[in-house]
Amino acid sequence: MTAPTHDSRLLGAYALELLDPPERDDVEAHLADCPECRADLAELSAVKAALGEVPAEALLHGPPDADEVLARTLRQMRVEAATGDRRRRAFVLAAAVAVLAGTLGAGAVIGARSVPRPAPGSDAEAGPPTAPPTAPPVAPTARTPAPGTRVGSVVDPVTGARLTVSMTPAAGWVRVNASVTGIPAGENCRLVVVGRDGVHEIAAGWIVADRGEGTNLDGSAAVAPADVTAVQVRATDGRTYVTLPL
Amino acid sequence: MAGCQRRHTSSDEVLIRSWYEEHGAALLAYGTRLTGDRAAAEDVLQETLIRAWRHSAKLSELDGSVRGWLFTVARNIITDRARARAVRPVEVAEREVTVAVERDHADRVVDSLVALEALERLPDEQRSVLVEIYLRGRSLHETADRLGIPTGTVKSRAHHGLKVMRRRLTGRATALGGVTG
Repeated sequence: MTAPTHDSRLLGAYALELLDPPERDDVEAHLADCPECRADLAELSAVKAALGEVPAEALLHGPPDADEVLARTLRQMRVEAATGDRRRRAFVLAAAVAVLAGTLGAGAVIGARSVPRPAPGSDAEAGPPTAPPTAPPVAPTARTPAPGTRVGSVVDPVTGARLTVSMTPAAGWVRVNASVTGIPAGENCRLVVVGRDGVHEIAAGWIVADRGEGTNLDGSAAVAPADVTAVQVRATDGRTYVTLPL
Repeated sequence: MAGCQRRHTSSDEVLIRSWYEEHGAALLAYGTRLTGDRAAAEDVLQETLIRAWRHSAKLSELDGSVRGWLFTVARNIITDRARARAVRPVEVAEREVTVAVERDHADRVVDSLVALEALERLPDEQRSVLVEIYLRGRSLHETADRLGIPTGTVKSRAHHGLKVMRRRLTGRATALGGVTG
């Protein structure tokens, strides 16, 4: 009989049609004899179907080309805020931290992302501390972060690179939002999460744009929150631009 | 008090701008596809951001992705508007796409948005594999090349990603409830 030993590790790959013919034959032979794996496969196939429901647009990240919509939205918000319930606002700070802490792991979807700051002159009347990454928006709101969020900022005295980080714990891993400035254009960078036992996990990667306005990016790393000792920016050749101990 | 007021306003702006910069392109493209109308989609984006701002307290406590919430809100706005048009006796001929969207999504919203949320909460390494393979339609070898990992790793990450999603999808169907406001 061809049924190999009970091994469900490939069922998901089978459901996604990733197996080569010999592997597929093995799995099918095993499925014929294993009700448990058949049930497992049915569930994984349902998950696959659910995955197919995810709107394709969910893969997009970044601002749209619609700055007038942002301006309109901000105007509407100001009008409502002027007449609105003040108690609500205390919560906005917490929400801002949650957002800035990289709740989406956007970098993960596309491997890495590098979002330029808003185009110069767009809605210039506002001037909140978001504009230059050198004035990290996480700092003023740090007193009401999501539980366990760690924030910090440092400038490397040698390279001059600044790294501002907000790190939010997840179940056994961390989400990281970082603002980085002061790195030469064209440099291929990695955001690295350093663990207690010396492990290094790459949380994001990007190439520095030549506009000198810095980079804000989200990432994640499979390092337990309690084990994180530092976050670094490194070049792909191994040089470390800046290290932020956490 | 003036200084205090100013600071609050700035934090509101920071919030809205951060959503706009991260999710604006996705929401606008989504709205444009569902409505077939860029101007309508811009209105939906504005309304979505405003509702998110009004609910920022709830959003800050959300155990899940902000993006899933924003997509849900955008979709509800579009559906509500389509319904409002449908009950009006005299109206310009309704776009076929709008009708299709409303019917199509009525039964599936929860699935698609819970799936989106479950996907976004996956660890990076698993999500990137599923995105490449399933959502971008890349082959096993293309995915391995793009991610710089062996094909065997692609298979095992795909498998584990699906398993983690299954765990998350179980019993989470109502997790995004209450976002109609």
